[in-house]
Amino acid sequence: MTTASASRLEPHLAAALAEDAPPAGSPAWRVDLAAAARERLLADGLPTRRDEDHLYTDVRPLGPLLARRAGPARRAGPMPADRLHLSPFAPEAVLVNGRLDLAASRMDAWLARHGGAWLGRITSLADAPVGRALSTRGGGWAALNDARFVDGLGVRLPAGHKTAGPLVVVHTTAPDGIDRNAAAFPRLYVEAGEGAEALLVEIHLADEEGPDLVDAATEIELAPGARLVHLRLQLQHGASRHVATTAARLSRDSTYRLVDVTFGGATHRHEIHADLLEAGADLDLSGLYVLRDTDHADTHVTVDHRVAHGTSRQVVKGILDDRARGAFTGRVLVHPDAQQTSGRQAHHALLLSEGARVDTRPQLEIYADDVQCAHGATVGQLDEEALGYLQSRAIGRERARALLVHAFAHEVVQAIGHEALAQDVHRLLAERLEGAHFEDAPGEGPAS
Amino acid sequence: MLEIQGLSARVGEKPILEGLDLVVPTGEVHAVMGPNGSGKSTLAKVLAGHPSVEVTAGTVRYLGQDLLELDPEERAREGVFLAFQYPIEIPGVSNSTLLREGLNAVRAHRGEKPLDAMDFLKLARAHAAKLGMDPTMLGRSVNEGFSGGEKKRNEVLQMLVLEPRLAVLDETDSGLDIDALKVVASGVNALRSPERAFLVITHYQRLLDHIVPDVVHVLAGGRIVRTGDRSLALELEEKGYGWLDTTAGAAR
Repeated sequence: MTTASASRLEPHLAAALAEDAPPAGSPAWRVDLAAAARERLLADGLPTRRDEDHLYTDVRPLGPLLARRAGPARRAGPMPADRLHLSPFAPEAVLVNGRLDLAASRMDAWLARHGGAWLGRITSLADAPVGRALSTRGGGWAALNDARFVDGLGVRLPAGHKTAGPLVVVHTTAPDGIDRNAAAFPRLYVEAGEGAEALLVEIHLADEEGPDLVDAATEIELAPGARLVHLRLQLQHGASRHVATTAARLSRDSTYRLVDVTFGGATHRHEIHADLLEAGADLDLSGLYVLRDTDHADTHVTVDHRVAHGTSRQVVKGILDDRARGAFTGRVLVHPDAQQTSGRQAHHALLLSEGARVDTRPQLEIYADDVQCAHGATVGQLDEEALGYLQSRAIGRERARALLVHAFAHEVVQAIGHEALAQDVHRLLAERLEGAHFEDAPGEGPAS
Repeated sequence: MLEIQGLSARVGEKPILEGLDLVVPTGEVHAVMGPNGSGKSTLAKVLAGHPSVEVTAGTVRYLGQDLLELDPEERAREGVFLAFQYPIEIPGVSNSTLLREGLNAVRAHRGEKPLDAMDFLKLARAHAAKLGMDPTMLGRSVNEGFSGGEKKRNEVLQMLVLEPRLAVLDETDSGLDIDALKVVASGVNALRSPERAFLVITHYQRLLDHIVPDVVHVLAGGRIVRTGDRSLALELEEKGYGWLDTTAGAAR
């Protein structure tokens, strides 16, 4: 039997891996990480739809984009982040085509305000376990980032450190003077020391003239008692393709709250892995994806409960219009020693048109006997009774629909726990909905 | 203000209203009473434009306009308000959002400027206080987790904020204890004026002790079978609806 989809990727992958190794002067860990990733990719290749974990996303269109790594930006333009009008925050760090843009970043100012903390080029880290969190469950896309990232951002928060306000990191793309058939490899490494607390905002943007593929990897290391709130916003333009891996290692009594918000894209695939390594670790994942046209978003979550007394909650919501396609796989593994685990998971999809489609796949694998695990899933349309009620209070039908869509998203948005950022996300949602053309199902309308 | 002529309507295949005539002049409070299943709630839903009811014959004129031609939100903007018998819950939409969006849609329709957040909040809090409602409920999701009585108060709060010309109250008394009933009635009475009209739909006459009607109609078998003054309501309380069913049958 031939493996048609795999064979289409492999020449592109081989070309990609033939490109340069990490530059001379890279730390030893960087060279080792790239070598190991290459070896793995040459042995296993990239995932295709034949892999059970990649069932819902066709990666063949990504093939030609893999062959070339995007070069440095050739054009300095207005920062796409300026168009976002995010509430009072300027980004502390900006990476363009996976390269730290020092001119657009304000790292010195942040460092001055956060004595003891470190923020800088990831390859300047001599001794950090970069790659460790991603190695446990990271798939081919994480390995490809391991092999090919140029530089990235490293963040180290010492024990007890509390950041003042959000730490905003913007990844964007820009034309590199060749063509758009290229990939960028943004990388982010965050380490929170014992009892440290931070709000991290990771934003992904894309220039329409920039490389078409982004393969992003983010890893989080939480020491005992650390608390990290991580808002991840994928705001790339509709034709762009974004594959990403986010992996976190949670030590004793640490808390990782990830709010994962995705606005469309031709292909979006996000693999999320949380490893609850010690007792009292707590994962809280809130996800929202908002799709229209022929957008495609696939969220794949794996939570490993390795020891007793861990808790995990996942609430992922999708809003799909037109012919958009969404998929959610939520895998919760409760290992044999992980007694007294609480693992909850829910996926809710709101379909705004008949052509939209969503797949849900909960996977609970429980090898301990004293645990509380549950999952739930719903797929539905806007509630006609609720629309009618709002209309009876003078609110127009379009506005009523928008209010109900915001209401649906609200639970996820408020998980950010930061009022100004929550309002920003609601505003982005409102802007997205303005372009939506709600379909009326037959038989609706007034009585007469 | 409201002129209904020969109104017939059905829910699904089932005819409910069969040639109903009713006139409510501006400035008056009319009560519509009747046994269960007589069509009271269907009448309310026709006026609000609820999609579950299909009008098969007749006309409804409101302030000279053909009411049936208007979308539900247009009716509300023109000043028609229905206090629902069973208000639904809308998780994620706060009471204050509902009230403010509704009020500003009405104001825009009248060519008035929208109220800003501060002025709106002041107004909403003042009305809530009149109804003995805790101001924190403005921030809560519409009717979510509210008791039956709280939902009815919330309907009256919406009415006070939107200041309709024609208010239709569909069994607003059901599920209320006597104290809540008095509060709700005082809210309605505060809104009574020569420019407004009310249609108070109820099964029991006890609400009419507190909202005293000018005219009482009896609805049975899908049409108005008796019209009288307040004493008709007292007579119904004494005798029940049993004697009317015969009358309605004879009238057909």
